[in-house]
Amino acid sequence: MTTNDVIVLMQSVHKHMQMETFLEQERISFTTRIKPRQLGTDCGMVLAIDLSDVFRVEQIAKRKNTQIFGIYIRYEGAWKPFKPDQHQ
Amino acid sequence: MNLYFNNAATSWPKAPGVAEAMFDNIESCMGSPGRSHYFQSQKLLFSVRQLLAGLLGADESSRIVFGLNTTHMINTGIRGVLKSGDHVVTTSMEHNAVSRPLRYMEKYAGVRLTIVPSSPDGLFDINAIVNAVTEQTKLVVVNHSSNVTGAINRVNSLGGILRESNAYFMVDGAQSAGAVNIDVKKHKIDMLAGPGHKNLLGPSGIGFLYLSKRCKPCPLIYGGTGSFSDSDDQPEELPDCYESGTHNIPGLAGLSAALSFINETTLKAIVVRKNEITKKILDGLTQIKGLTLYGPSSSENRMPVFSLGVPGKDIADVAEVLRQKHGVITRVGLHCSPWAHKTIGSYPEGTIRISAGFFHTDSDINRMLEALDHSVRNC
Repeated sequence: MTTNDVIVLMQSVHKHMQMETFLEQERISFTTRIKPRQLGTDCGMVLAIDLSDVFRVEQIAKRKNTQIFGIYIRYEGAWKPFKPDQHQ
Repeated sequence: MNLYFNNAATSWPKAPGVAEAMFDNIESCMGSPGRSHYFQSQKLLFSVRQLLAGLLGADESSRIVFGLNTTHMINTGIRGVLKSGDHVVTTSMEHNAVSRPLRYMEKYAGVRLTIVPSSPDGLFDINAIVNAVTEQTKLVVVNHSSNVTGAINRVNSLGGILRESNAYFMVDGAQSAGAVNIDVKKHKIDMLAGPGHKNLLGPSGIGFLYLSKRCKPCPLIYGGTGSFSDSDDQPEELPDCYESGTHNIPGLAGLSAALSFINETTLKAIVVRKNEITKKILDGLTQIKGLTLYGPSSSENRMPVFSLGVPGKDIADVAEVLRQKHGVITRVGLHCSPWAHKTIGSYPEGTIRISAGFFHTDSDINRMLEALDHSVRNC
């Protein structure tokens, strides 16, 4: 289970599904949840992951040549772009 | 009991598990892919895309887009890449799914069309096609396997040559997908259209179009994709760009089961069995007096699709005896391919088409051949 406090947005639902496959292969836990309204107007999905897995997820995306649209963290009730140096 | 020999129109029976998968999907799988949290249907759509990409040699499953049928997908490709002033090369064996949109583009959109004659067997001449390509040629469209004669064209040789031109290479795989080894990347195919319901052994209502990285037709249909909903513009991203509106979800469930069956059986084993069936029918047909067989006389590079004439008799009468007395279902007429019948010399009457499927047994084939022999002699 994840805390749902860090989410990964992909470019499309297809890319999201592809990323799910990669995370399953790499045994990284995630949950799929509805995209927060603050981050988009479509009916898409996001991957909720653990904060400790962010670096690995970024590396997987790089290795698999899959572009991540954005990584966000919930901070004081709002979703903010994730900046690694602020969370070390 | 009826013997169904009209598999070139649609396969029957379907692969084991197709009907159950569709029933289960309707009963238990709620929602629409890409429309919020209906993860089950989204997973289904993704997995079918992956299975099909694997079968066709596509390296990115997002480059497989789904639509209503092969005709819809061919229209998407043809009408999406051509504009006024463009030149198209095609063959004289094309189905109306290709010829009609091309004629439309010629009449109303300022596109120039060259139709390269195929041989009376239904095979195209690669050199003649290549020689017809000019600097203005934007598209070359060819039939992979004829729905009239069963002839299998060598698309693998053509793709590489065409990459040296400006033309996109489109293959109508209506009869070949699931029956012939196709490797879109290796064969340098830019667009491959095919159906889920013929040799892929799935249900009707789903067509697919593979698009190479260099090929990006304008979509034929615009609308809701569940993505980028705040924008008035169609998403650029594949597959969303070409998949507006709700998918045929039960159909996808059926196609998923069919593709799993093909993977388990292996395409290699399917091709071997189809070749056996082709040879057996061809051998049998040559023993029946009073028949004219159109198309290749050898079982090499041939599908189990046979066009027959019965000189001196009305083929509709022969087919009716076949159906009423023997329960053998065939298809009589032009098979939506008037160009092809003109090419092989059977226009305007058409032919009796016998098209076998993977599940036919030797006993089915013997019964069909005996019934045909009897019908020709007693009509």
